[in-house]
Amino acid sequence: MQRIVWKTAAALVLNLALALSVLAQERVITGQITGKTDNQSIPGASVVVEGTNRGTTTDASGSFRLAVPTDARRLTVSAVGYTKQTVDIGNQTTFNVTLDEANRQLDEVIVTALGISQEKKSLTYSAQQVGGDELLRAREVNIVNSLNSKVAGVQIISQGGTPGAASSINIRGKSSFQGSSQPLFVVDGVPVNNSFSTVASSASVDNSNRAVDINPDDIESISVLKGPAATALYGIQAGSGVVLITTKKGSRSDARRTTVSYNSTASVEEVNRYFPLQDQFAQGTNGAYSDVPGQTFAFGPRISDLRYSSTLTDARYPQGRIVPATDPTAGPNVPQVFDNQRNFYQRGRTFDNHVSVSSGNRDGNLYFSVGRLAQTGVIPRNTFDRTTVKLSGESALSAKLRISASATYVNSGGNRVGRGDNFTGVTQGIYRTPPHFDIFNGQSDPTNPLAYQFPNGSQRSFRNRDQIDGMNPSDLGLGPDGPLWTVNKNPYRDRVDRVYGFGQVNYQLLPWLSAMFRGGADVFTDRRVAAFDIGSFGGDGRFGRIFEETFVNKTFNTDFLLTANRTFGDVNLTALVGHNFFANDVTRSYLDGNTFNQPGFFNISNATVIANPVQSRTRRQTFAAFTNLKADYKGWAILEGSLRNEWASTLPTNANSFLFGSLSGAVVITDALKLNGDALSFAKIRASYAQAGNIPPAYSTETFFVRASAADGFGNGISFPIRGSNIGGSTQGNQIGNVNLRPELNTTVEVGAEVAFLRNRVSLDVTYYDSRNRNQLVSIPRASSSGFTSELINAGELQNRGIEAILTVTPVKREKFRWEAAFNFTRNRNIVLSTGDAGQPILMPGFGTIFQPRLVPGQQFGVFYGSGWLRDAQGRVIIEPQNRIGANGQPEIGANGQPVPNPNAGFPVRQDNLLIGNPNPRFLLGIRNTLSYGSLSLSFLWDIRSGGDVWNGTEAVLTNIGMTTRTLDRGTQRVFDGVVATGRDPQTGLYTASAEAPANAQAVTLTQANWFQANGRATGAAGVHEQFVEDASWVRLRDVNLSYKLPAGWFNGSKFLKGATFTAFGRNLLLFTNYSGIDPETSLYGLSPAQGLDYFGNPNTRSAGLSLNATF
Amino acid sequence: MFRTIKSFLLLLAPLALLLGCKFGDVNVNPNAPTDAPMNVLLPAAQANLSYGINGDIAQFNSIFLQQIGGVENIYLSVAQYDLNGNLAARVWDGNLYPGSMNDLSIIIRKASELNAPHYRGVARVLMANALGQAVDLWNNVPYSEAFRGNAPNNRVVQPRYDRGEALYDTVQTLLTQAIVDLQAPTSFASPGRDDLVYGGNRARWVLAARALKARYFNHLSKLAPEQSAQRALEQLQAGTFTANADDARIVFGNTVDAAGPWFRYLVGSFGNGVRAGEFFVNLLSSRNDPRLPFYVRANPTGAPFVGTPAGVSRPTASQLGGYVNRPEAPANFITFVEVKFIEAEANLRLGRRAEAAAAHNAAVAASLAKVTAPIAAFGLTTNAAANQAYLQQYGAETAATITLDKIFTEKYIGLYLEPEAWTDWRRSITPDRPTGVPALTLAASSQQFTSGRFPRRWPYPLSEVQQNRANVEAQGAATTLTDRVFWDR
Repeated sequence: MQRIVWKTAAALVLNLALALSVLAQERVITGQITGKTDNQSIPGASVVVEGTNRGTTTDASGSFRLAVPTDARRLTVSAVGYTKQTVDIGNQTTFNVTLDEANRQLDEVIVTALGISQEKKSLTYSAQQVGGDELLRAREVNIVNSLNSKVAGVQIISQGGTPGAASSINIRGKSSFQGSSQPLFVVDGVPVNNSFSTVASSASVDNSNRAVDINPDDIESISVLKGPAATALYGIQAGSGVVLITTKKGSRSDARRTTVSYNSTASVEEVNRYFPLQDQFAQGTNGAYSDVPGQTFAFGPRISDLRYSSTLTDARYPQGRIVPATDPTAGPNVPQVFDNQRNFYQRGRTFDNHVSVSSGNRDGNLYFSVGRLAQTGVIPRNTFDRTTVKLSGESALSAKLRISASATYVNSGGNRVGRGDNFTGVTQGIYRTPPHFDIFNGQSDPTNPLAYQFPNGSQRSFRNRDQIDGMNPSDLGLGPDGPLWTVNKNPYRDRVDRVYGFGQVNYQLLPWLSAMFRGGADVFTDRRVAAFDIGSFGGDGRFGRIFEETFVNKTFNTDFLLTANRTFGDVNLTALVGHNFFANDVTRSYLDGNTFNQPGFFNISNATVIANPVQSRTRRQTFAAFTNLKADYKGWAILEGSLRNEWASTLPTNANSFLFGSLSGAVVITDALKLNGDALSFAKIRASYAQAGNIPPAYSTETFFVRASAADGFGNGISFPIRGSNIGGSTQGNQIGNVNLRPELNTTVEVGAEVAFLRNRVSLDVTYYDSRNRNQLVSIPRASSSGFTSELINAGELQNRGIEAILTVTPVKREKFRWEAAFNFTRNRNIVLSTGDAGQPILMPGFGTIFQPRLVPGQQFGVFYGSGWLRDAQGRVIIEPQNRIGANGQPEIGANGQPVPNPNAGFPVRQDNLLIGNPNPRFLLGIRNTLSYGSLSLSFLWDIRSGGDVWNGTEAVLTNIGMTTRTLDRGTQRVFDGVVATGRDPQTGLYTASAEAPANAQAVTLTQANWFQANGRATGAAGVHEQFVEDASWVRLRDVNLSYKLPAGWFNGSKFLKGATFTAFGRNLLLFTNYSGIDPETSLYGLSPAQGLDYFGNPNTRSAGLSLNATF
Repeated sequence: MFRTIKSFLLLLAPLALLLGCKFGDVNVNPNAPTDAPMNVLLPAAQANLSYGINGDIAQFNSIFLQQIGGVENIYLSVAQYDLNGNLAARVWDGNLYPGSMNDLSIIIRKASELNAPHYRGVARVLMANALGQAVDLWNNVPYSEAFRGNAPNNRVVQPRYDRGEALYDTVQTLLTQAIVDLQAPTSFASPGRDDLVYGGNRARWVLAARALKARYFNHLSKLAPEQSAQRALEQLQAGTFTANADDARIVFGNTVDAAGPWFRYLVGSFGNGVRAGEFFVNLLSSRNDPRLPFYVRANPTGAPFVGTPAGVSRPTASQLGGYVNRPEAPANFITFVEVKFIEAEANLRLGRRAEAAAAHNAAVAASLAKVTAPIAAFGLTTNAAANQAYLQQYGAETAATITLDKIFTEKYIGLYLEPEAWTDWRRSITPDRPTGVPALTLAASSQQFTSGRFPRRWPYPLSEVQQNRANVEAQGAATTLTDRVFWDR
């Protein structure tokens, strides 16, 4: 029975196919599509028979072949970056169509939420697209960096210059008090994870943000959806915007066409700015040479006053022990000075190769690529590599049913090095080393143990005069590991195996109604192994320590969409109803072992003690139902609205549902008023009102009990069960569970205008937005006498107002020569409107407990609070008076009847808890200039950042120990600017200065004791911070790119090579800034909301490279 | 059309499937339970309290007392009397309120619900000790409204502060109730191995409760000299410790990660922050105290015992000795030695000089016996002759020779690195002993933070100042380091 049915069905299908082929009278046309300015062929251009779905795309040589019905009248030819053109078919069979380069801002088709392509002209909100070419210009490894300065409203900050280091991206400022404010990353419609997964974000190593796994060579374009109107269809996941990535696909073609594309890039990197260290003063204190074990200060004498001893030996100094010139054993030679920074950092190298095969015919297409990136950093042994394999394809199963799928496998990771507040950070090790100590010990190979080990195997450090026994706790001085010890003995390796992709079914239910179901997954494991060999100072690694940490991160996402599209007279209606399911499941397991059996073997089995194993699983799920309606009147009046209801697992069960929506509209004035002059080519205005939300982290509604540990204030302690016993211990957790949690709500009003003049030679796209984030989810501290130390509550409101402007100018547009300039301007004002409970400031991670970025009502986001100089009402610094002033404000009189002299006279006075800086820039401006002459193209991008403070914590700490150039004024006299104190405030006990207070004239001689390390005015992380807050404005040549595309004519007739482009590029080649440290583009806290802290970050790099692109 | 509808339904199926889903156990935390039994709460609370008392509190108090000196980092700051609200918050926010006292309050509540007085008794003794310690550092502190941040009814996140005097009454009440609880004939459950102090020995807990009652009565020596002495002695007479073996203390394990608080601190990254105090080293050297090499580790080269001066960093000074610098060094709550000194002091205050001398001599002997027991890991052996010589000179007082100064001085040595020693020293300050007994000299640069005065209390933790501001401010402005707790007049 069944067989008969099948046979009948097959016969019917066959008949139908025959019938169709008879009915549809067809002929075949061919042609080539080229660009007007450069006369280059355009691959991937779309050629469609007008009014039908019949179409194809051009191959690598810009050619196409298409069977068209005899009654076809016109062809529509379009390509990314070119103006759409319609051609009459007539009786022609060969078509050579020349396309005009489009004005990118206006004619673009851009990918919007859920992967829906729309003409930018019809958008009712702000969204910006960056094409694959633009992304690849600087050959950035991390796609987040490749967006830098290219999108208005977006700020990108990289954590440091090591390979694979994370970068933070914020769209329209920070949207969340305590969350990361990172946008949602979506690849081909499926959310992918961009997490950072670092427990100690201020220390550890430069971990990656996981978007680093996306190979830029596979990207077709990136759309940045900025406000909630654009992201409404993503709901709570998109509270901070969406970065929508569309990957390359095989081209659909009437005839089978296969293209192979090969890209090979090689570049070199070097440190772009070194830290300015003093090279004149030796180890020691108070001007005297001292090299006793544990001596960390460089407040010794001038090196020129020291000699190598002719008789005394020293394991650290092959030339002889260093002694004062007056020492009887002093020889004739002054100790050598070493530039340890320049000796340590090497040249980094990057090799990136990518091969892709794309193929397609009328019913389907395929894209396959393999990419391999290998990097070595400027720090010895620092590496990052990435291998990607991608396969995607699409097939039409019938005229109505289409299936597509994509899968990408990524293997990435490397050997990382310590950073930040970390005794295994290499910068700590280098910068703190006095200039007369050679970290290489005369060797040139950074991996040679002679450089970093004493003959007895213990760590070679300037602090260890004697070859101490590294295992003996009493013999170790507190301090960072030597840099070469760190790179050789403290390895940190991470490895990610990741698969992401989707499967999708599209079905045309009715001519006006289509359905789509898409299921996506992003699954990865991230394994990290860090080890500290026996004898390390850092990482609590004295006896050897290793930890193994594994994250398994699974994200599943399904979308179901019904789309209706109907035209009623002049009105075109698009309606959409959909459903979304999102699930994220993260498990983390962590094993921390110490006390090695033998040195140099980095495996958990080598540890004799396993402490604090962690196994945790965190799940979040959401469901959503949404609808969107867009009405378009004659293409010039557009109204759009959406509603989305969301159910979230992390909200209290009885209140886990919430609704938000958006309403937006646009009017194309030039079309509405039928203006089409040359002067004003285009004008459109738009406005929107939209909401988005954010949900609490999992498990926030209950209070839990946790495994107990007991420790002192620095965390030195034990955990249960105490080793050697099986007695367990639990304690109530410190966070109060909150059963009243609600989602955060973001409401944004946005208005914008897009105008173009002089036949689109000048175009401007300006957006103003005002967004309010209410019910911020804030973990606020609680008085611990309540039994708890924190509670997650909804409190506070944050406002982001700003202007985004994109100006595109084409000053020269000749037959062969073209000059285009694009300006991306970002200005965001981020104001904390309230912080909930009684207006208490919210403290963010800072440094120590005295220097802190805070959220203070009425202030910008994360302003710096710390200690500064006491000032009077007129802002003058108050200087300590000659004689002491008592608590009553009167001069103190000694037993001898005379005023008591003030030992601090002439110095300024510290005051804590002052507002001392603002990390938010005034504006960001990216200027891209592209000059092309025929096949030659030169492009360069200026990145300008105005304002925004950075606390140079590195400088603060190194000043405290005498290693910065500002400590070269030790021993010199200084008259501090300010007025002399005349009294005291009886309430606060602080000095006051009357209006007539005299200007300070007291000269003081600066010394280690009375200035650099003096109580109350010291430098250092806990000292007076104001001195180290600096303006981090910069002008930077972000990238330069010179490319030459071999003329198409060279390959005519070639069966093998079809095109080739050579590119020379540079990144970060020039940096102009008044900042005194390394490159101010650095961030201690990575993706955390606290920004503007520079604390022993790894230096940034500049690079130069060559790239070859060939198509076969 | 029918097929279209069918396909449409087919596509709709997953939608319906998903809409029908409930979250189920998605938001049920697999990583932490929502409850814990008493027998795991108790050891955690004990260890946390021990790490608080013998951690930050002992570290900072011992620096104030110049038994040790700070040479680096925050320890140098504390030595210079810059103990700020941040540092004071570490033990309050860590070991005391959320770390041990909150859990003890849960045990007391659970034990009442389950009718387990034996657990409640142990928890009350520990709570009394914690509370007494808090009052000795901060005077007025929250208690009656404390630990209610999560209470379903009458939730309090900003508890009011109770007066120190009243809390001393609470301490005594808790201990009185504890003795009743511990002597209850039946209990639903009783502490056993989970009791890190006595392994479930309730008789000893009763002794410890009386010892603590004596301690806190005796603290009132300045306010009510006679009454405090009488009450302290009453408790001792009712039956308390009779040997070092009765000490209420925890001996942690003998590995680094099972170690007691002093070793764990000294072996950690910041353990280099302290060295032996110059005053302490000089005092013991001058008396040929055989405990010196046990308390202070001899330098391998140069002068063996070098201390760091108060408020000045001398990193080359000697490190702490084997008696404390080993994993299994006992972490004390209250000891036989202390009890004997209390007995001596109380008797002396009441004019019973012979009893005072006898108790003092017993305390010194017990301390020597305990401290100078051999420690193989440090190559330390008992020098019987030296002990004997010391006892003859300093442990053989009589009714005629015994003085309060002698008792305080010996107690200062005997309670090395115990926070209680700082309480005693503060009590020893009188108009004719303005720098206490033993007489300390001010730390260098004391002008900077205390205007040339000794610290007499801890400042309120910054966390309380910020999160419980109104209640802290109600305690008055004078809560600086040089202000005094209620019994220190």
